[in-house]
Amino acid sequence: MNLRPPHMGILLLVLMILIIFQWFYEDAESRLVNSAFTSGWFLFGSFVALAIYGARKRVPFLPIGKTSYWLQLHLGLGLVSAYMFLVHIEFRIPSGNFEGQLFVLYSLILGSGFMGWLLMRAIPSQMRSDGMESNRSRIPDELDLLREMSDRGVKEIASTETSSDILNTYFEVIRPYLHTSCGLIPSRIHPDYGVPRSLVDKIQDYVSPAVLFSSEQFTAIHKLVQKKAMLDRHAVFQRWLRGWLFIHVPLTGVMAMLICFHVLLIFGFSVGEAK
Amino acid sequence: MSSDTGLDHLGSEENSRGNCFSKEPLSREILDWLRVNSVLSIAWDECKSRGKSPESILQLDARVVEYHKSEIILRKGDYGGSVLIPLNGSVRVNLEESGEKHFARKELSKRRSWFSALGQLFRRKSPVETLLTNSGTANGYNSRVSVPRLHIDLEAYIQKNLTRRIEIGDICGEIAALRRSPRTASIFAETDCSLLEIRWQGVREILKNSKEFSWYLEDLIGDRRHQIFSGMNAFKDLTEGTQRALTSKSIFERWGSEHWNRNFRNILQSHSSMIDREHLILPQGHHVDGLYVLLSGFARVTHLEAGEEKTIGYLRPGDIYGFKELMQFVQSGKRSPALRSIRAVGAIDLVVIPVDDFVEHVLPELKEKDIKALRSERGLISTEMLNFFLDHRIINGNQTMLIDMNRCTDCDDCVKACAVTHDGNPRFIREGYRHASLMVATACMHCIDPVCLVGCPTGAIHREPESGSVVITRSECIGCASCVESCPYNNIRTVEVHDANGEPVIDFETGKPVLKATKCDLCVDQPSGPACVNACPHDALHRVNFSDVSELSKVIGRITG
Repeated sequence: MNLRPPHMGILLLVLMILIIFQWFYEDAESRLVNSAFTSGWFLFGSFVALAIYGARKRVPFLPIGKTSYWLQLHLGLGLVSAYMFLVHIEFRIPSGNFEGQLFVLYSLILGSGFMGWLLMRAIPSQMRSDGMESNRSRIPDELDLLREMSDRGVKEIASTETSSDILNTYFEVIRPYLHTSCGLIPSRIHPDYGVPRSLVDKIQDYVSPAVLFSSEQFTAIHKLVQKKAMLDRHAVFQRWLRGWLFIHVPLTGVMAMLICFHVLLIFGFSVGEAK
Repeated sequence: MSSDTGLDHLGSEENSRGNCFSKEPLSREILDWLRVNSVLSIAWDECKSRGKSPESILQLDARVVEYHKSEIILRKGDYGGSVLIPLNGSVRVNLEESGEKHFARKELSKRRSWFSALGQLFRRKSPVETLLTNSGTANGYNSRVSVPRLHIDLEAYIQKNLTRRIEIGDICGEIAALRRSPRTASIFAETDCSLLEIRWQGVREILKNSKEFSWYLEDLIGDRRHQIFSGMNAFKDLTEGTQRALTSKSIFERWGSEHWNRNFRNILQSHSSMIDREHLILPQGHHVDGLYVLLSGFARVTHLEAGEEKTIGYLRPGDIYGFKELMQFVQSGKRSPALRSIRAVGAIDLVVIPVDDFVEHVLPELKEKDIKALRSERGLISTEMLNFFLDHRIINGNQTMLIDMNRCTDCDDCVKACAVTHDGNPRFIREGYRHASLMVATACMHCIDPVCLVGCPTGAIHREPESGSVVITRSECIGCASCVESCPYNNIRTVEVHDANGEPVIDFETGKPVLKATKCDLCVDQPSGPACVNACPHDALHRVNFSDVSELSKVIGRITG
């Protein structure tokens, strides 16, 4: 995990927001007015502030603080808003239909945000541990090239007198592997051969992996398989790095609409309430 | 001191040098006067004998500029590549360090307003890296915007402070022009005056065709370095008299190859040892004959361990070497050998203060804090990383883009931010040399010694006088790709010019698309500065000045953990 201490100014700002919220909330409680309005407005404000982070990323040319500081503020406010949310729902599991939906949505947004933060901190160093640098958009082209080269390589092997086991293994196991998608879980790499363990297990049904990978004829294809394993690993990490945003961002949009509806409903039903 | 100005390799660009420096041609009267009465008389006949008429050079690359009394002509610390020759009136150079405050810049260069910056979001984006023909900025050489003035009693200032009059026909501004370094002194108009300004391209042409003139200028540079110590932290508290005495007794030396950038990429690709190609200035174990003060360029500091040269640091302009050894000599009375080796990385200028003069002039006036400054060590950067920086000449960077690969999530927000601020076309590539978890991105480093400037035939690529940022004036770029070839880091590219309809502009003569050079401009006109740095949400992208060791150590410390 690649963590850094938070910016002191942002930490103080978040703490100040928390203290102000607590003060207003307790004041409302002590005056016996409906404190849910106070916590609700604070929650609404924090939601708007959290959404502003997305807008800030679109205007990098404005001198309004680095985006990295805004991200720290986003994370800090996210935590504070979780507390505000719990205060707002009075630390209970909502029983109503609509409030239940809001609760689930909010939990998913918070959870996906936390997950995203963890992934962003953990994956880059993992991804670069093999020393290889890959460009996300070029991975499909690289894989295509690699498949083409391996087919060319196997033609050369076939043209020489060689064991049919190698060719069988190539067409039954290795070629399908070269054409499979990377999936969502990074493969465990065999320490001796630098290819996925699952592939080694499959190869064993046709030929001894030690024999295959030590074969001089197979060296070029072995290198291509190793490269495919590395590219797959990078592609999987890239999927995780971006995947969480496909939950976090759309749900935020839905949540924003539901919050507006929630505010309208509350005010609609609050007409005539004793002041 | 070497007299090699190193301009012989440059081919003729007569055909491609379209735009004149001056809107009006120089009069016959001025040209005749220059031939007889100015320093150019040294070069005149030699140029002619080589078939290059000085008159044609001046018509293309010189202009007459009028200054009024009290106006600042050149400001110390500014960047600029032109030289000036007073034609009439009185022009003075300020030699008093304490007086420099009057010459200080009052207002910073103009940036876009927030409103204008926001307007970028709504502008039509071009689909590929294109530059519209009518989108050139007007901040090039040909514009002479408001000239700053001295708001002081000029007569009283001249009487009380040390200044020197520059003779009519003499030359000034040559140090910055030839060394690509900041201006070393401020120059002001004592009376209303006219000066002939020759841009770097013209100076280069004259030097190329007149050996005598290049020797003359090299000698002049040596003689005029009268303020070299005043700008250095370690010496700034020495009295002006001591500084003057030191300057007169010091030995100026020039080492290394001026054209290190030529063939640099091939050398790098061949993986041959860089250290063996660097000129050895002071071998470890040899007697230290004085205090070495670096004036320009870079030097590698190595230590011999088990027969292997280990890089332990580098020197930048203003850095010194030999203090430890000289102090040992003072204490023991015995000459001590150099504890480290010093090598020239590229071309360097240095001054050696002889031992006796150091003991006589410098030592008695040094205060404790100065001694600390002289003893200061490099930051805590590993030998491997230092080797990486020196071998790839990354130390040349003023604004090198370093990316912490352990924090970079490949989100490309930096590239998107660059695109937003440059009409949808990013000016850097998020790829480059790697060392451990650090990547040096392919983005202009705004070098301390920008070799890309050397060959530009029009002066389109130049330094902003105030910040030193290297920028391209589109309207003056002729797409010759000289800067692209010269940049040893591959950080400049040429792109096609498109018209307002998105159609490529075709050169009628060649039938090929018109090209223009493009590179990172450090968002000079944006209110925020470099958008890439602002945009990185993970604090992975840094712009680092390799001259600032404390900043560098901080960033490297953060990256390497």
